[in-house]
Amino acid sequence: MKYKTWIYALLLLALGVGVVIHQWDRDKRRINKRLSQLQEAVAKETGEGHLRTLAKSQEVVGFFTPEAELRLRPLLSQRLTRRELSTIFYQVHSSVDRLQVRIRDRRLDVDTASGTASMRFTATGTVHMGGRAETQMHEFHLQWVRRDREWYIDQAEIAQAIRPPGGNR
Amino acid sequence: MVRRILIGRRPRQTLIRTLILAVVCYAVFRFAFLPVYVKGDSMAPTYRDASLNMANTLVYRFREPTPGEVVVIEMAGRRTMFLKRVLAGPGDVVYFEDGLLMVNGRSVDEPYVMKHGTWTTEPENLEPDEYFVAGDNRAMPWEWHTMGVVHRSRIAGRVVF
Repeated sequence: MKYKTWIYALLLLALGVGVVIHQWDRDKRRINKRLSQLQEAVAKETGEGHLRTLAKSQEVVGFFTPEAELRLRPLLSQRLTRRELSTIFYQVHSSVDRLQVRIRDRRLDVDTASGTASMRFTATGTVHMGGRAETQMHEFHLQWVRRDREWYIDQAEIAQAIRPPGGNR
Repeated sequence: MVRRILIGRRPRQTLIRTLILAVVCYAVFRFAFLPVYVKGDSMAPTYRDASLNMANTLVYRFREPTPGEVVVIEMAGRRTMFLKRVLAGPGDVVYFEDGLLMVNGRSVDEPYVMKHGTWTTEPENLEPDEYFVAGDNRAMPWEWHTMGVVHRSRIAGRVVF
């Protein structure tokens, strides 16, 4: 009898650990999926219409919390609100022919208890405009928060691996 | 015949050799050398777009980077990195004056640069653990070129060929 109790206790413990690991993994999987969706929304294929661009600018905004803080120097110089981001996104998307985004070296730390996550990755963006293509690489730091069982970006920042010199004299 | 060529007369020895070779290859490419595929023209003409090169990631564990060396610079990880030349090190004051590289008030000869261009930048006082890096292609406007100050911790290795 005692032996059986031990077996049940161990099984329950294993089940508990399994549930915790699955829960932790679920958050990680969800955030990674959200980032992939954002990457897809930011990209632009040739021939994308204005209505699609407008829809995408709304879609992109939906990945951020209403009070999100965006510090995207040197891409964009000022701190942005969600609304400003939507406008700039629409303008940029309308002016380029094609935009390809590639994300690599993802590093994600999730704090399940507090519902926050910190993420780092390198994004490579290739802009095709007027027959020319230009590629830029940036390291991004994102802070995610969980709200109503969904993850949103609360802070986005570009970390400069190489700090440019003070400016032209 | 094919079987004999593939696994040899002594399959057990072949297996052991294959395993040793795999472990050595893994260790070499994981800890000592890093294949670098170049994208872009910022290091032209020294390293051209789409060329494949190799970086030694062990060398800077034993010594510090020195000006003139081409290094790989980490971003969030090691799958996408910058390839740049070290132009000045800790304690130096560095800037460009009408395309000429000036370090501590003196112009530096750069044989690897084909066209010097017209870059003119503000002087940078490099702190300990800071290095000034730039590409060899100075023909492009400096605002389009990723260059400037990098922290020592981001320098992952030296390009050897």
